[in-house]
Amino acid sequence: MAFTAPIWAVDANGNDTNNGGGFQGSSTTPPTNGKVTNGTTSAPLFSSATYNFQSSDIGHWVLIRSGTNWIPGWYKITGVTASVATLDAASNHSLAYVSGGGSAVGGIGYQVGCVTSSYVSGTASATWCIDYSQQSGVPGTTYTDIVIDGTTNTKATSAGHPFANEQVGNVISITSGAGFTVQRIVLLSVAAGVGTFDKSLGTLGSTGGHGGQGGQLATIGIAGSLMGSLNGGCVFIKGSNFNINSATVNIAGGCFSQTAGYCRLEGFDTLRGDMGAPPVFTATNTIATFTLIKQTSTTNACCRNITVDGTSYTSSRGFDVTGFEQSKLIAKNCTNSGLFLDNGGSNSRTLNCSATGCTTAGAGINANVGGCSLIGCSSYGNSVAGYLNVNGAIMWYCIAANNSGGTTDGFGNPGNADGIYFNCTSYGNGQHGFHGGTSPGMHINCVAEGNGGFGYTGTSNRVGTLNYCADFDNDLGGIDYTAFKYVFNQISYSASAFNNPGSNDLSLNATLGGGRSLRGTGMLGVFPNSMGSTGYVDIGAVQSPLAAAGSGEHALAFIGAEA
Amino acid sequence: MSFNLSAWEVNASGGDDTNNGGGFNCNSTFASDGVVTSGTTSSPVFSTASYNFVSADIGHWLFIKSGVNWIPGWYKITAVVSNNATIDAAAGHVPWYTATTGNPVGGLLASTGCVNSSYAGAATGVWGVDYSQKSTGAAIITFADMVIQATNTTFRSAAFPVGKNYIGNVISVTGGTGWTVQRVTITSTATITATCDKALGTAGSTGGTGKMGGALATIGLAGSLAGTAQGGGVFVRSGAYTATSATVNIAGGCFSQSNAAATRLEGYNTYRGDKGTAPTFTASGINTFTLTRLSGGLHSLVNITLDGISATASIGLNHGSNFYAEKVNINNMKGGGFTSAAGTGTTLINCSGTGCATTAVFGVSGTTYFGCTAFANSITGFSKSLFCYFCISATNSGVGSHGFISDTNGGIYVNCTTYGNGGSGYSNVIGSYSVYYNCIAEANNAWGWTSTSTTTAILFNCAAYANSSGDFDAANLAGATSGVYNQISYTHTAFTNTGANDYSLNQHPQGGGLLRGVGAWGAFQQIPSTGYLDIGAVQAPWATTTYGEQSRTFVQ
Repeated sequence: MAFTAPIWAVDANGNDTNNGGGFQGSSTTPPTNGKVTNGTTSAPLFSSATYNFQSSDIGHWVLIRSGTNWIPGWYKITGVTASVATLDAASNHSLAYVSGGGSAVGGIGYQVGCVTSSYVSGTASATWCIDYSQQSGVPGTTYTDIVIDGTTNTKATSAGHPFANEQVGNVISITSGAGFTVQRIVLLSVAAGVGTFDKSLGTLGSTGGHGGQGGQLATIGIAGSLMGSLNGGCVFIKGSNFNINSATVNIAGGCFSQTAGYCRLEGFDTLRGDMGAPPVFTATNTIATFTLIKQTSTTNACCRNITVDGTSYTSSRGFDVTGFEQSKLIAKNCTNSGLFLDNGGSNSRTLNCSATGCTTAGAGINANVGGCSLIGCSSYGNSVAGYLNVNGAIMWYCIAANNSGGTTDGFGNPGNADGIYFNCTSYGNGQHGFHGGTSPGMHINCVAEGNGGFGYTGTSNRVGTLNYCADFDNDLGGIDYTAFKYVFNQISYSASAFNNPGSNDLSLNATLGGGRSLRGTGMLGVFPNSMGSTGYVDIGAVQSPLAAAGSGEHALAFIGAEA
Repeated sequence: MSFNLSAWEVNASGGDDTNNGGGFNCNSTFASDGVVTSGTTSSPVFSTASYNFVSADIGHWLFIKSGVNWIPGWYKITAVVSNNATIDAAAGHVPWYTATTGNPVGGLLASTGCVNSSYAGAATGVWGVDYSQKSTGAAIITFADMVIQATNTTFRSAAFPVGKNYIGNVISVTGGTGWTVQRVTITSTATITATCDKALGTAGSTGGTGKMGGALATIGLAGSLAGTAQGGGVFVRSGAYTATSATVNIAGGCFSQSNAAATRLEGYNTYRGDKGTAPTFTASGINTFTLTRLSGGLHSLVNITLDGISATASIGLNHGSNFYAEKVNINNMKGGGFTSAAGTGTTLINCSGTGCATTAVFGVSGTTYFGCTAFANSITGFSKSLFCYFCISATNSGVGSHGFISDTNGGIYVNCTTYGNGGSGYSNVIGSYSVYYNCIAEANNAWGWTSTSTTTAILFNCAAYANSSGDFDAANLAGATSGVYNQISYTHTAFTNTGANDYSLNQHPQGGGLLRGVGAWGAFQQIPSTGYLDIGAVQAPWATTTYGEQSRTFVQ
C-alpha cells in the first residue's frame, strides 16, 4: 500500500535518512476519545483516556481529524500539565484539516478554539493523534528494537518505544536491521502495542530494526522521490537556505520533480500556509542543464511561496510548472527562463510571482501555455523579456521593468495567440513595452513608460485594442498605430508617473501630468446598466492607497465621516 | 464587388430603410488632391481643386483615407467658407480610419489635427465626403433623373452632376424603368460619370430614382447589408429601436451576421466610438427570437442595450468564439442573455444583464468577464464563469440562483462581489479548481462560498457576512489543495446602498471600512512596489468629503 495524501516536511534541520519526515492524516485509524475543556478559547485543554501527554510533546501538533462539534485541524501543543495538553487555538494559529482527499491540509484556521459552541465540555468524541513531523529539528522517536510480527509482515512491535494510538499517522524511516526493508512506512493503527503499517516491513519475525519516527526531511529532492506519482499530498518546506548541488532529480540534494500525480508544494515561515519568509533553493556545484523545481503533473498541482536561484549556471531554469495554481514563486538568475509555465497547464493561475536576473534564453516569466492567468507578477532586471506570452495568457496587475537589451520587450509575444493585459505596467525595457503578435491583443488600464521601442506595438494590420491605456517617453512613440485598430481613452502624460522606477517602485506618484493623471482614471468607473455603483481604479499595476500621509508614508486610512 | 469595408449608419431619427443610402464604403477610389491649412489645429481648413465645398456639406463628415503625413479618419465639417471646409479635428472628436480588414472604424483619435507636424501643404490627402452620418439622418441628394450609361455600372445625373465628393457613398436606388432596385456604392468618378460597384440595370435606362447618403432606420436592415460583406461596421446612433419581427435582417427585424470577417455593431452618442448614451434595441410583440447574432468571425458588439421584454424564448445575443463585447446590457430575456455554442476566447467588458429568467444572463464557457454585472434576475447571474474580474452578481432571486457558478474547468475570481442572491454567492460545484481573490459574499440566501468535496476551491483575502447557511461551507471547501486564506468575516453590511444596487464600500468600521485597501496585492514580490486594492468589485475613491459626495482628489 502506498502513501495516501502524505504530508512531507522539509527543514534545513531535517535528516533525509533517519527522520520519518512526514505524516498521513487520512486512511488511518487514530483514537476517537479526545476531549477538551475550554474548547472555544484560544487555549483549550485537551486530553485522552488512552494517552498521558508528556512535556516532550510540547511543540508537536495534535491533529483533530473529526468529531461532532469539533473543528478539524492541527493545533500546536504549548504546554502539558498533569497529562493534559494545552493547545494553541488562537485565530490564525491552527491549520485546517480537509477530509476530501487531496492535500488534507487546508488554510490557516481563522476561528478561535477547537470546538464549536455546541460542544459539551468534556465529551470524549474527537478522532485525534499527534503529528511529530512539524517541530523544527526535533524528531519524535528513535527505534533500535523493532520486531516484525511472526505472521503478518505489515505488523511490528517495539519494546523500547511501544507503538501507541496517539502516534497513528506518523511516518517511520526504517534505516537498518537484518531482514528489514530500508524504506519509509506509515503507522496506520495500533492494537495492544502492535502497530500496523502501510507496507511490509521485511521478513517475518525479523528483530533489531532501526528507524526514526517524526522530524523532517532535509532536502526537497528526497521529498520528490517520496511523492513520486501520488495523487494528493503536500510537501511543506520551512523557510531557510537550501543548496541544490545536483542536476539529478529526486535525490538528496537534487532537484524536485513530479511529472505524474500532483501535490501541494509550499514554503512557509512559522506556520504552514502563512506564506511567510520562503525557503530559498540555490544551485551550487556548477551544475548545468537543470530545472530546480518541476511540477508538470496533473492540473491539480500547486506550488507556493518558494524562491529559487539558478546562479546563472548554463541552461538553468527555476520552475517548470503546469499546475492549476502557482503563488509567490521567485526565480532568480536563470539562463533558460525563471518561471516556465509549461504547455498543458491550461487555465492555470499564476499569482504574485517574480523573476529577476535572468539571461540568455527564454524570459523572466515564460507563459508557454494558453488560457492561463497571471496576476500580480513582476519581472524585472532581466536581460531577456520580462514575459513571453506565447499562447494567449491573460495578465492582470503585472509589472515588467528595467529588462535590458535592444530586443528585450517588457511583455513580448512571439506567437500568434495574443494576450490580454489588464492594469499592467511596463517600464524601462530595452525594446517595446507591450509587443503583440498577429492575433488581436487587448490592453485595458495599462501604462508603458520609458521603453526603448514603442509603448505598445504588434504585427501590423491586426485588430489590437487599447482601452484606457497610458504612455510616456517611449523612444519610438507611445502607440504603433499600425498594430492597433481600436484605441479608446488614450492617456499620453507628460512626466514620469512613478515614484522611483529606477528602483522598481512603480507606484504612482502625485506629480501633475504624471502619476496624478493615472489615479482613479482607469476603466471602472461606472458599472453598466445604470446599476448605481461607481468604482475608482488606477491605471497600471500598483494601485494607490486611499490616502497618503503628508510625510510621504502610505496610509490606509480614509477620509470622511463613518457611515 | 460587395460592401467590403463599409460603415453602415442607423439613426432612429430621420433614418429610412427604403430610401436612404445608409452607408459609406471606404474601399473606393477616392480623389487624392486634398490640401489643408492649420492642419495641426483643432479646426483645420480643408480644400481641394476637384470640389468646391458648399454649405449643405456642413454637418457631414470629411473622410481622409490616406496621404503622406495625413491622419486618416472622419472629420466633421463645421463650416464652409469660400469653397473651403472647416473641419473638427479636436482630440476625441475624430473616428479613426483603420485600413485593416473588417470594421474600418477604429477608436476616437486622441491627437489634435488632421495632419502631423511634417505636413508641408501638399495636395496629397486622399479624401471623400461621407454623407451617411449627419445627425438628422437625412440624405443629401434625391435623384430623379439618373441615366445608366453604356457601361451598366455607370450613371449620370443632370440635376446632380456627379462629383468627387460622391465617391464612397451608397445610393439606394428605389425606382426607374430598367433600373434594379438595390443599394450601390459609387466607387469612382470620371468627370460627371459615376462608376458603381454593381450593374445598375439596363444600359440607357433613364429616370432612375434614389437617394444618396442618410442613415438607415433599423438595425435589422443593417444586418442584411452588413451580412453580405466581408467585414464592416454598423453604427447605431443613440435612440430607441424596436424589433417587431423575429425574422433576421429585414426592416424591423433582428440582426444577424455570420460571416468570417470581423464585423462590429456599435452604438454611439455624438461621435462613432464615443461609447456615449447607448441605443436601446427592444423587442416588440414577438416571441422566440435572438435580437442579435454575431457568429463566425472576430465580431464585436459595443455600447448597446438589448431588451427582450420578457418575451417567450427571448435571447439577447448569440455569438461565436473570440468574440468581444463592451458596454452591452441585455435585459428581460427568458432564453438567455449572452449565449454561444462555442464561445471560447470571448471577452466581455462592462456588460450587464437584469430582469432575466430561466437562463443565466452570462452562461458561455470559456469567457473572460471584466466589470460585468448581473442583478435582479430570477436565475443565476454568472453560470460557467471562467475568468471574472471586478464583477457583481446581486439580488438574483429564487432558490438555487447563485451569484457565480464556476466553469467546467473551474474559475478564477478577482475582486468580485455577490450580494443577496437566492442561492449561494459562489458555487464551485461544477469546476475542478477555482481560485477566489479579494471577493465578497454578503447576505446570500445559502452559503457565501460552497463547493463539493471533490473539487478544489482556494480563497485568498475573501470576505463574507450574513449568508444564510454560513459564510464558508467548510465541509465542502475540501477538495484537493483547497484552502481559505486571510479570511475576513465582518459584522456589518459593507455596502453603501444595496437597495439601489450601490455596492461601493461604506466606511463602517465593522463593514466596508474593514475591506478598504486590504486586498491582495499588496506588496509585489521582490520589488518595492506596494498596491492597495479594496476587497470587492467597487473600488473606493481616495477621499470622501464629509458631505458624502465622492471625490477623485487625493491627499499627499
